[in-house]
Amino acid sequence: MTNPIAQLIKVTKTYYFGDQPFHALQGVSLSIYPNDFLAIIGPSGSGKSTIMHLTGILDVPSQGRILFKGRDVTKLNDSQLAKIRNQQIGFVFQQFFLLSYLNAIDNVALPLVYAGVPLAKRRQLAIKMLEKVGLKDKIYNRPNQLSGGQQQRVAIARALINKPSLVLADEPTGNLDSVSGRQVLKLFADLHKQGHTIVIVTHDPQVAKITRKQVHLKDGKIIKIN
Amino acid sequence: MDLFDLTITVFQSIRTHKLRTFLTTLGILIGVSSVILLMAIGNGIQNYLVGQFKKLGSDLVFVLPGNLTTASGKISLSSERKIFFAKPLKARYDRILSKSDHVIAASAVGGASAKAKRGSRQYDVEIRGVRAQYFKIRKLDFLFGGPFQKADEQALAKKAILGFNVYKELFGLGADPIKKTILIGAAKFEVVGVADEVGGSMGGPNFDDFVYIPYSTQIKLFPESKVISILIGLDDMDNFDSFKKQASLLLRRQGLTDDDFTILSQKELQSSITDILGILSLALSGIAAISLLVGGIGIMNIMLVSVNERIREIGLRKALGATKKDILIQFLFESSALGLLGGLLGLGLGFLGSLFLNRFIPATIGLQEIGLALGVSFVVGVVFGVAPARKAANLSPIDALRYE
Ligand SMILES: Nc1ncnc2c1ncn2[C@@H]1O[C@H](COP(=O)(O)OP(=O)(O)OP(=O)(O)O)[C@@H](O)[C@H]1O
Ligand SMILES: [Mg+2]
Repeated sequence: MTNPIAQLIKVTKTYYFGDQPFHALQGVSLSIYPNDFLAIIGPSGSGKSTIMHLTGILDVPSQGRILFKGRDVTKLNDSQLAKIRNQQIGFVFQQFFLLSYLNAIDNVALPLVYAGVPLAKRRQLAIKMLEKVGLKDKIYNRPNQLSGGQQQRVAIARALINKPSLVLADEPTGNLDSVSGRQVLKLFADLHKQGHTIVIVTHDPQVAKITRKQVHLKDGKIIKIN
Repeated sequence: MDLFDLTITVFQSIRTHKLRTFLTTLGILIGVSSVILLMAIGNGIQNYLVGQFKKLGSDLVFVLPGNLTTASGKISLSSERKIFFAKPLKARYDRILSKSDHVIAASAVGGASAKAKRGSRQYDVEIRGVRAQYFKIRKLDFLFGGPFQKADEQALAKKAILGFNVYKELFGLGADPIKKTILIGAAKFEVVGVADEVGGSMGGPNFDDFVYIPYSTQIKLFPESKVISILIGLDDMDNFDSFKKQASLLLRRQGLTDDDFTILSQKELQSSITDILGILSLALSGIAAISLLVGGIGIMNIMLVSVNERIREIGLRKALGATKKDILIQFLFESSALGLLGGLLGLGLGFLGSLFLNRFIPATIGLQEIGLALGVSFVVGVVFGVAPARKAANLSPIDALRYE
């Protein structure tokens, strides 16, 4: 069997309210393998986003270990972490998080800025990626000139631009109507077929259905994997 | 992070907050424009003074009453008290000093004030009683006529050379005043020459208000007049030090002590005047520095606001691979752009101000001032941007992304 891309080992995330501890995650272990298509599903507040942020090394665990391609992320410095986020991980957020002052091309190209790719090359790659997500005729639009579904597809293009080993999507259809939601999910399914490794966080069983594997979460614990 | 991305981010930030940006740069703007103006005035006056001194003639040495050397070895022209207690200079010292090496000519200069009259016109003038050889070393541009001669001096002739203003007021422009008579005090004088306009003074009385008459005549008609200086022309300024030594010795032999006189080269006199200017502009620069400080605090404040407004953008950029350094540079770039913008606006305002001021006093802006203004405003932007930029850089990505 191949090595996992990301591994959470007995991870606990604890927040304190005064001296009152609250465990957003408790002893969660999870491995994500290449070409996985996985849903993390659970009710609101169950810790789904927390898992995604830890997997995407945006956050650090209170206890336990997180390995990314075998490296313990707590032992890496800022620029090493930034490099992994830039090269290995693509994020898709519920609120899209596009920069309002950049057009679609430059939003998609933003990760390439931090990868040190020159401007002309950046734009060329970004246009290609926008064509791939079906936005060929909207490349010069600013976010406020795009529908929600289109904005999310720009965000997906941005997540894919650096050819990441892992795409993490937190409620990617949460702010979309059902039609554009289905389009976005179809896009994820296609990407999986092309070999991408994708994790979708959702509270919606309908969404989880399109994935290959569902991790059920409740009160910060994994209760079922199928 | 590359220049394109930095620039577009900064332009965006400035464009969406035009008024805020302008108000933020106001402090720097005021600071820089006042620095520019002060320097322009300082420069202008200095250039003007240098020009004035050139007009006086070169290779001149002045012997002045009193010890004007301060404890630090500099020359101060404002030691009235020292002059008051000094033994007065005597006119005959010029003949004694002529015996020193390297001297081309030496002339005592006597000073007095009087009213000059011609018909119904009158004008307050400064009388300068000088020897005939005075005109060998002090080059006057004669508009009419020329200097008086040695014979005139010996004959106590009542001959006068008028400064430009005196001529203008008593005769009117264009009139030929040569051989005409005027009254100075109660005595009738014949006009033998008119000096062209010098245009101003060097802190003392205006040269254009002068009337030059033979020293001997002055002593007789205005017995209350004093020797205000002895003017000496040297063959070469390189010999100034050796002349000074000899001259001091000669004067001490006349019973003077070091507290009674000062021997100054034209250059020293010039720098003693520009030193006063320097102190003045130093004080004013202090005020400008305070306004730059206030401007810097304004930038810091608005950058903190900007960081707070863009916390989620910072989180996103970190999620997409920005390092702490990338974020730090982004915000430093923005704050230094604010500083530089203030500097540019201040430079513009200072320039307009100097154009306006030029009608009253000379003011010039050089490359050095421009460089300094932009450099200082850039540095202010960077320095006061450090704290906000560090705050942005040190945000944890997840806290920034979750920020509402
Ligand atoms: N910074 C924080 N401080 C305190 N508590 C937090 C913080 N972040 C998350 N939590 C808590 O951790 C728990 C898990 O949060 P998380 O965002 O992972 O939930 P979720 O499963 O993604 O919910 P939703 O479906 O509503 O997005 C929640 O109870 C939340 O209140
Ligand atoms: Mg969530």
